[in-house]
Amino acid sequence: MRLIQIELCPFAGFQQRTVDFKPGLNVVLGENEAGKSTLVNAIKSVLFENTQQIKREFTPFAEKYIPRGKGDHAKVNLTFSVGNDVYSLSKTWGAGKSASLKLNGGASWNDDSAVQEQLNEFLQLHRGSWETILFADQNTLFKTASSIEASAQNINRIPTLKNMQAGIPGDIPADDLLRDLEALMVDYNGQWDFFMDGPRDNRGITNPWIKNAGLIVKSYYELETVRKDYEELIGLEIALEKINESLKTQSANIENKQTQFKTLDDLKEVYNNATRLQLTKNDLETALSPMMNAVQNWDAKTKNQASLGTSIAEMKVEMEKNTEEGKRARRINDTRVNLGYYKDILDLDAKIAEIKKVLQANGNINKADEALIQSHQTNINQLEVELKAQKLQATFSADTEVSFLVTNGLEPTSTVSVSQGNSADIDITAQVTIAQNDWKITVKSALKPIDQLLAQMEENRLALQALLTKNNLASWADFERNILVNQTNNEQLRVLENNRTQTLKKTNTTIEALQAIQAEIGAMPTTRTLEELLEMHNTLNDKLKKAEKTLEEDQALLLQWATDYTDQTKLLLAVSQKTIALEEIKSKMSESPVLPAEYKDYQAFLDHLNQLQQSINDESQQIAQLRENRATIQGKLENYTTDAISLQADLDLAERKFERRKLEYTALEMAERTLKTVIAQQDQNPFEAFETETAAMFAQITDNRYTQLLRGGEAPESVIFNNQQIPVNLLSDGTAGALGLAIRFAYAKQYLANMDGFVVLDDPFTDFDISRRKAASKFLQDFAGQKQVFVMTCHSEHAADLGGHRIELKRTT
Amino acid sequence: MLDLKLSGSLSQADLDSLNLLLKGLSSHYLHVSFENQVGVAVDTHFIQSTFAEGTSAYQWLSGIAEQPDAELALQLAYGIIQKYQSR
Repeated sequence: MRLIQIELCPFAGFQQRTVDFKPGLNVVLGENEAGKSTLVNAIKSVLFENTQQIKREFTPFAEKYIPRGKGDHAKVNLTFSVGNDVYSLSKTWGAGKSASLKLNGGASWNDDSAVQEQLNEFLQLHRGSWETILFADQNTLFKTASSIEASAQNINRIPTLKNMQAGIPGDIPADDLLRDLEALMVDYNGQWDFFMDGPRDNRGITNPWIKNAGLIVKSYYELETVRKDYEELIGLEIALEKINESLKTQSANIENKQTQFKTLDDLKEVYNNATRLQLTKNDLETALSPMMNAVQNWDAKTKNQASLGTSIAEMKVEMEKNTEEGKRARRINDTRVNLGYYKDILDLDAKIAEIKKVLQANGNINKADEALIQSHQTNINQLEVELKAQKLQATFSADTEVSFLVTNGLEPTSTVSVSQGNSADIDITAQVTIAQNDWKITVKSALKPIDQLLAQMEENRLALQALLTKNNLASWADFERNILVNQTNNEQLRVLENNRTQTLKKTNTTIEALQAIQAEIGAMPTTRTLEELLEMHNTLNDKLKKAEKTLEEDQALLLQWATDYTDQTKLLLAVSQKTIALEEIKSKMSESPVLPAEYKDYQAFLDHLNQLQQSINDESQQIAQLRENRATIQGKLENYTTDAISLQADLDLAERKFERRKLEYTALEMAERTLKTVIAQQDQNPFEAFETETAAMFAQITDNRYTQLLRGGEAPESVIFNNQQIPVNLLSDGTAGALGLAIRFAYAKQYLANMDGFVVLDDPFTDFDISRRKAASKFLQDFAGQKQVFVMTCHSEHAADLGGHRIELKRTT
Repeated sequence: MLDLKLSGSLSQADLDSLNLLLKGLSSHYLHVSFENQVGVAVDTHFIQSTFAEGTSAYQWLSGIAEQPDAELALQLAYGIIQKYQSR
């Protein structure tokens, strides 16, 4: 917004006053009460105050701005521009209150709230920002820092400004750049899968992405479309070339085959004649073959008839002999097993005889005697037991050496000697007799009748001995041995006799019959084995049959020859005639063309001819098919509006474009990383640009006396001077005013960076010395080069320093 | 007939001259087809002479220029800035 003209009619002390403004610096010079502040208030009121005020608002407004006693209303008309558009604004407060805004040659707004709403769009900033920063009066100039802090809730915030314009007038907010960059990246990467390096979900040109397709995927589809066209065209051209090659080759082939076929077909009749000669020759040779056989063998076969008859007779005699010998051999063979058994029986008989001989020599005890012997021995044993059961013991003691005879029971008498002073113990069985030269003592057991026992014992002994003697046995031990030997031999004898019986049973005949067979076989002359004789018989039989067959065949042949040829003379004549005919045929055949060597026979030649014809037919069909295919491909090629070279160029271009898109995206990724780093750095101190701007302005106004500020909150808190930190509230009025000016313009620069606006200052140099005033004037002049500036002053020298568009106000009465 | 494909980068002055030249080509040929991918050569000197130090654009472009193979990224970033400024 740039102010062009203001009309106060009436407003405060002005009944009617029109002031024109210029772009850049406007200096309003007037003595005190000339209306400078009224002019500022008129600008503020027409821009910010509603005309439809409630009473509580209107009363103080009316008291200040409705001329007292000279009317019932206040009115301000303001002409301003926004960009190239010029607007007329009019506001009336009090009687006839109204508001209107009109675009010259355009729209108009006549409703108070609509007018204010439109104005706010032009003003852009909060009312607090305008009143605190952009309309600065002298009183608040040197209190700027605290004033800004106090109004912090009503002014546009620096961090917010940072996001509006990056903190430096004319700059672009980095966040905006990032937003645009990311939008551009989306334009590139839409539907592209970087991991797979292809369209998302692998959707190729047959099913392409349409919605949200990015530049990369589009260039990929372009490339693939061109590639597909190119490959199809190249494929068609290659196919056409191959077909032409094939046509050329097959045309040459078929021409060669047709020539070959014609040559061979011409030879076919000649070969037919040759074939007929060959057949005749074959017939003659077939007829001559048996005749030549008859010529060669007639005599021999006739003679052979007699010798064959003799041989056959001899062979038959020989076979008869073999048959006889065979019968004997078979008899031997049939009786061989039984004769083996017979030999075993004879061996068994020999062993039986030998055992019987031993038994005879050993003596065979009578069974009754054997029982008696054993009975007596049993009795003796029992008696001995009974006698031994009545056992005594005698102890002989002697004062002098003594010897005496002792008869102990059944034992023989023995001498017992006892040395001086010793004793001898003797075990006694039932009865003992002790005797010396002239005395004898017999002691008997009283338990049993010893004498009876002894008598029985003696009786049995005598009976036993008698029986042993009767049987030529010396003792009981001999009896026992004899009994044992006889038992063993008898057992062996029983086994042998059993074996003999079993062996004879196997022969199914009697021993006498076996003896007769042995005699029969033993009387036979020596013969060959049955197997040898059978082999001999078979050999002879084969020879005989062969001879008989030959004899029979030769007889039949001779009979046939006699029938066919009568005799050998007539046969020779016939052979001679046929031989001459055959020679004539051979002579004719030698003059005929022969089949090429590669043909086995005429049929092979004919087969080849047929194959050749078939091959020619096949190739003709193939050529027709190839021509049809060629026409189809040529038709397709005619539909192409471009050629392969152009398509190759398009393909190269599309490939480069596709690669370029990917490179561009990679470059955008690099730019994105860098921009995010910049944003992160800016976020660390969003006040940085503001601080830098304020310090630079403060340094410029103070002629570099103060170059460094320390910020607290939204505004500087202290300044550095001679390495000392001085709080703002301890600065002199002049320095505080210079700092306030710097702060306001630092804000103003940022507020007005992207809009047409203005700054209003009321006597800003009051507390400045000359040099600081001149520096400040220079500063304002520079600023006015970019934005509209209004300076109110009552000091003509200040106005002279500032220059610019001078507006003079006179005090009215 | 003229088929022209251009790529690469030039200084702003040369780029302006090139664009002027291209505009005049069509009057000399029956048919002119060209693909112009030539961008302004965005280098350190260009950045320093075009943008105020401390601005986001300055910081961004300077940050990219410090990296290897940054020519394309610089051109694209400058294009985004130009587009923003022309709004």
